[in-house]
Amino acid sequence: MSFDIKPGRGSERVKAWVYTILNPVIDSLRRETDLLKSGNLSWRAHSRRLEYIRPISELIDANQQPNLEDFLVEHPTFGDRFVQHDSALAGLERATTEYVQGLLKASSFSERVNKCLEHYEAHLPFNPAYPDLMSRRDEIPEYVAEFIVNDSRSLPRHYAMYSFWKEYAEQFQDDFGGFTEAAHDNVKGKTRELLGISEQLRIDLETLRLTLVREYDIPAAPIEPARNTASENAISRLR
Amino acid sequence: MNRRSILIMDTGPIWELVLYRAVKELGFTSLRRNLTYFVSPEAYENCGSFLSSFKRKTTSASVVAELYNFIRGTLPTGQRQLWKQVYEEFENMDMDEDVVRLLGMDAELVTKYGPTDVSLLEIARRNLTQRPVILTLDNPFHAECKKAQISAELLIEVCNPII
Repeated sequence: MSFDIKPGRGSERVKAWVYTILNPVIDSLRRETDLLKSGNLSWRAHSRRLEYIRPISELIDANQQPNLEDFLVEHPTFGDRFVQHDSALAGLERATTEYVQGLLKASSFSERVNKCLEHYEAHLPFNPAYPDLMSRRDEIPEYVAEFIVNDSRSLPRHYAMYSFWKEYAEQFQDDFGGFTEAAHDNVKGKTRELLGISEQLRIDLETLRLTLVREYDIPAAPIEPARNTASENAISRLR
Repeated sequence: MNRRSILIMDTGPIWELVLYRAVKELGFTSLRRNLTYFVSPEAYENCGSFLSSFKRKTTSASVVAELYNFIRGTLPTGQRQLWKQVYEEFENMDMDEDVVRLLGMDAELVTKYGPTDVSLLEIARRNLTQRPVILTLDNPFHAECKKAQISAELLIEVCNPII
């Protein structure tokens, strides 16, 4: 970091970096690494993206774009690191999409889904607590593919697919051979790559935050309670 | 167990479901303090069992507007993800949504309980033959439902059923 004019103690400019850039990005990277470690990629068939793991620019409030630009001018190496993160994320999204497309095309996968569905429907009269999945029948292969790539072992009980997945999840634990096995390995490799990048980026951003708060003697988060109090009041009022 | 017919959901229980997943699955730890009913996995499970016992679940468009107010009170950087959670809850539980026009609601009741609660009562009235149940966490509204002879459940009792 090199300044023409060094910010003073308690600098508002440095506070803006910490509060509007570093804090939300660190917070999001923590959630991201937890998801990646748990195997939940949060990939969604309809959007073909990892819904809860997003590029760095999406982690920052759009109104704070000038602060991001200012931060990157003074800390240019993080610009490259952010690009590296986003590129690894895009690679993982592509790999996951390819894997899912491979799964959906694999006859062994379709046969297994159809077999499970037929079994489920045949037993509906004996399991009145199970919901009828007729309305989403065509989408079930995509749901199953989503559960597989997100490593969803179980679903919340109130979800329409809960009983189906509880009954048949075990049958989808193995790979489906050929392309899908290699594609699955590719997803695992790209997941590890993104996890490594995200963890190191988070550690380095935390180190930078600590350095800044010490050097400029500022709190690591704003201490005015205004926003949270207002939101809590709004929630209790509405409840 | 045969599935019951129709459940009408108020804002509070939906928001609680969204918060639980946001905290437990997505790691939004700052929202944990807003989670007041699903204080244990058992409470969440019990609510899930209750919800899954209904064939159809619906809510009112006014409830969606209230969810907007809840989300607006959270940090801007997480709002897109919270909305995504709302969409996913609706999709995954096959939630229906009904519109009740202001002119179709009793003005006295709107004054007393607000348009959201009254819209839920109206949806219940439209579906009386299916013996609807309203799920809420609001005690006065729960009492009003009983007064109107509409079956209602409080979220706290659903989470902690008496065995």
